[in-house]
Amino acid sequence: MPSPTEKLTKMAFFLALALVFHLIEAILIPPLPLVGVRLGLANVVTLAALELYGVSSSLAISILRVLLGSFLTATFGTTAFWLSLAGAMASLMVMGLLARVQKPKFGFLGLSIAGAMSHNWAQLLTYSLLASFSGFSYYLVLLAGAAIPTGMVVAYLAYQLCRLEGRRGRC
Amino acid sequence: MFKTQKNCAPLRDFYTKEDLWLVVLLCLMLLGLAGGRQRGELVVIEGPGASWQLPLFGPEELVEVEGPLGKTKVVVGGGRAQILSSPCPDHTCVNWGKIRSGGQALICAPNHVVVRILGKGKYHALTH
Repeated sequence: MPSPTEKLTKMAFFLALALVFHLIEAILIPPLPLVGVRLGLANVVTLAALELYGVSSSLAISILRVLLGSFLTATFGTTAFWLSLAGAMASLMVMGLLARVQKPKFGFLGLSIAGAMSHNWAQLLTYSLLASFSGFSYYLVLLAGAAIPTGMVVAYLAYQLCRLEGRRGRC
Repeated sequence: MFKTQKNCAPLRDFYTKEDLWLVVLLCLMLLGLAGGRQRGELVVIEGPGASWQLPLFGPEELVEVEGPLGKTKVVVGGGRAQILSSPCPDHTCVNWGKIRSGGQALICAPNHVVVRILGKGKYHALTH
């Protein structure tokens, strides 16, 4: 059983990692995250934290990551900020619910793909609300299709991250 | 704030049988939605203030759509539709290139312009 200090340290490490991923994606891809299909690297940390530490810890990490990320890229309060918040919350909600289901039992792959898909759809919905523009129904299929390969990559990375953490004394 | 009890449960599997079923199901669903490409007939251009309907196989025509950011130039005719230029920041719509068959669409989200090709027998979709 890890001590509270150990826990705090690990949370801080996860948050830092999530921020790095968040920034990499923010820098590599133009700020309107709608049209470009992204890998969703930050979801690696959300998923790993969900598996290792539970929903509440993962929620704390995602909210702080989106908030701090928006400070670092100076996008707080802009469309990009609301989009990433909506995406992060939606994917965590879906992954958290699916992770609790015991039968059928989903693995990293299923959780990650479902998370990626809900992330994309939530962003699409938020964007059409913010821009009061509804020409996006074509994108639903495209984004859902994109969620399968990106979800696979994210699932693999999250699995490796969890195994790494586990080896360092998960129990 | 952070629970410390849950930690000793074994790690879930990377993938389970259910995951694979989920992937297969999703792929089939998406193929069903995206497939069934039919021959296009009519191009519909929708901007914030106006909309146009042009034949896909007619002579080439240039349409300038006024959006919140400026003018998006769309060329239609000769069996294709394409966005030539747009004042949006990332130009995804321009880089998308040409579209040729029914059901396909070009979208410039920042400038609120949608260009789509309707296939045969799809005219009822125009009533709005």
